[in-house]
Amino acid sequence: MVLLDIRNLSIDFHVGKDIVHALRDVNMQIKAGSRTAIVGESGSGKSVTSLAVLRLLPTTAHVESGAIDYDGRDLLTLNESELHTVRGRKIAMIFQHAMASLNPLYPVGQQIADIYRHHFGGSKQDAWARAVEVLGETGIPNPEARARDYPYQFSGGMAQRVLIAMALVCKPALLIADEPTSGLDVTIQTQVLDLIERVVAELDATLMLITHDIAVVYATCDRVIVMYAGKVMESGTLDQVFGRSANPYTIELLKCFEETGVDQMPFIPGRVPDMRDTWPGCSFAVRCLFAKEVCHQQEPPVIELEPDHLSACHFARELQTQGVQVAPAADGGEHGEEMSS
Amino acid sequence: MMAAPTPLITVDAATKTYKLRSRSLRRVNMTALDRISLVINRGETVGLVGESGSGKSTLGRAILHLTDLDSGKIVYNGNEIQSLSESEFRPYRRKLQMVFQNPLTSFNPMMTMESALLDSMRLVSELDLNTKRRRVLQLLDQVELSSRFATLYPYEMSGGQLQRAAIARALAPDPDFIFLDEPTAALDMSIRGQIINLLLRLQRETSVSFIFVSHDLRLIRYIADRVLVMYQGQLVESGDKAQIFDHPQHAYTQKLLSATFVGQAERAQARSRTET
Repeated sequence: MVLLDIRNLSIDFHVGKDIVHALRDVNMQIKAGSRTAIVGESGSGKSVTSLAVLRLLPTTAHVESGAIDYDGRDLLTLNESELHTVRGRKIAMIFQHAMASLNPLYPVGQQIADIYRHHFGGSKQDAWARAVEVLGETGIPNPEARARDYPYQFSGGMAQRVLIAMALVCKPALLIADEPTSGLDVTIQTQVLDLIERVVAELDATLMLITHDIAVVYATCDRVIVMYAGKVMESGTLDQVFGRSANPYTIELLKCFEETGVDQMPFIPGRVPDMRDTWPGCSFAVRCLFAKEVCHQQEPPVIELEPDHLSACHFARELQTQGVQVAPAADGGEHGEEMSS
Repeated sequence: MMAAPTPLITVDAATKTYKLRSRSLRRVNMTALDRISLVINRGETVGLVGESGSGKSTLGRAILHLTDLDSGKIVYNGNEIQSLSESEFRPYRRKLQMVFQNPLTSFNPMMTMESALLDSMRLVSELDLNTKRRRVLQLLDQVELSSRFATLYPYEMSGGQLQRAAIARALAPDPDFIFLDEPTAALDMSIRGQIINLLLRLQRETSVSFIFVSHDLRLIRYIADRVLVMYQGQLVESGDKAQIFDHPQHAYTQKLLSATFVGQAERAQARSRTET
């Protein structure tokens, strides 16, 4: 069952005289009960997508087209009071900088209790008790006392736990975590990811995890959506996308994380395109080792390789049957030659 | 590697304690460096790992004479440098350089790349301005940036390009040593390799020594000859690369290894085995 269905979503940012085309006809489905990762580099549109779901985009953003269906309703058409019944209650979000997401002037327990009362009412005492309870559930030691502490009294990892407690107090059906572990120590990262995974399982919720780190995907998720330059490049199960990649960008990105044991570290030549520009073909074509004439001229179709496994590449099938052995174009710039095996 | 390594920098029992006030305003001491001793050889890359607060950056600041030590010695090229005054240290300043994590905040936004690189050569008295200008273009070329970047401001460049320029700036005064403080952490995964390969090549060309700080053991594996592990101000593990990766001794090193891509992939496999 599809919990969140994003269809043909295009979002522009108006920055001064420039128009940045951040999302370009994005389609993705988040299945209920899945732990779906959205992977991409900076500027790929992964955070914009997640902010659009909760309608938290800045005023410079303009939704040009598309729909975000959740629970039979298009979130993009909800008014402000309808949104309040969704945000926090049905869909909760954890942000990258935990400390910046907390109000420095109030004890953390009160901030959690406020959210609980906003959605469920009840007495202040009950809400406070519930706040202490969820703080304890996230593994914060001595939660009764810590609930009275202010954000500055928490370390980065502990503040992230507070944020997770805040997200789970209303038992949301969908939890969106936007780079929840960047900025934390590697050893703390694992703890926070474990906690998120446990909380999602206990709530029987769905997880949408935004990250640029493939190690995080492996640690936490069972499905992956790969984004590049405002588009979805590939999606499917962890096994399909990482094990049987059918998109050159995914293949190249994975190489950057592999242990190759050679002297040179792998990287993707070139840089991400300027998102103010538009182009006729595939966004990755200029950096793609396998790019042919058609890639520069026509937008790639989304090919369904097997159920759930989608790839936006003209040569998705060839890539998958031939693996990464497809002969790269000489000097990366030559077009028009046949795909050879 | 050279046959007989010559020590460039020797740190001997360096100790540094910061005096802080706790929440209840009591005085507390935080030992950032606890009797740290190490040797950095010419042309060598030492990987430095450790969690935040373990003293990595303090070590870099101490070597660059940006922080006083409470006790201990730092010897550069046979000269004891930690006790020097700022003016006495000046001749050494250009020989010890640093590259920071975030390239955008480590450049003056009002300066073009040319003026930033010229500024870095201010203490280089043997070259005249015209020679320095030519050197700017050479340096940019060395880090694979074309000459048009000389006239660009930081905001006109991508993170990866700026970090190349930061490396060029560190190389400008012809240093013997560069402290690289997580130079790729703010960059996307797909271009980290470009910076690592660049550093590897520059080292072959100039025989500069590096301390490379990173949380990413994969990068350390590519770039470092030896690895040091710091934990709470102490050096808890040191050895050549293979030794640290194959037989990590300290619990922190073991945790770091399990958090890498390969470690997580193994974990994912183990999990899918138990689920089925």
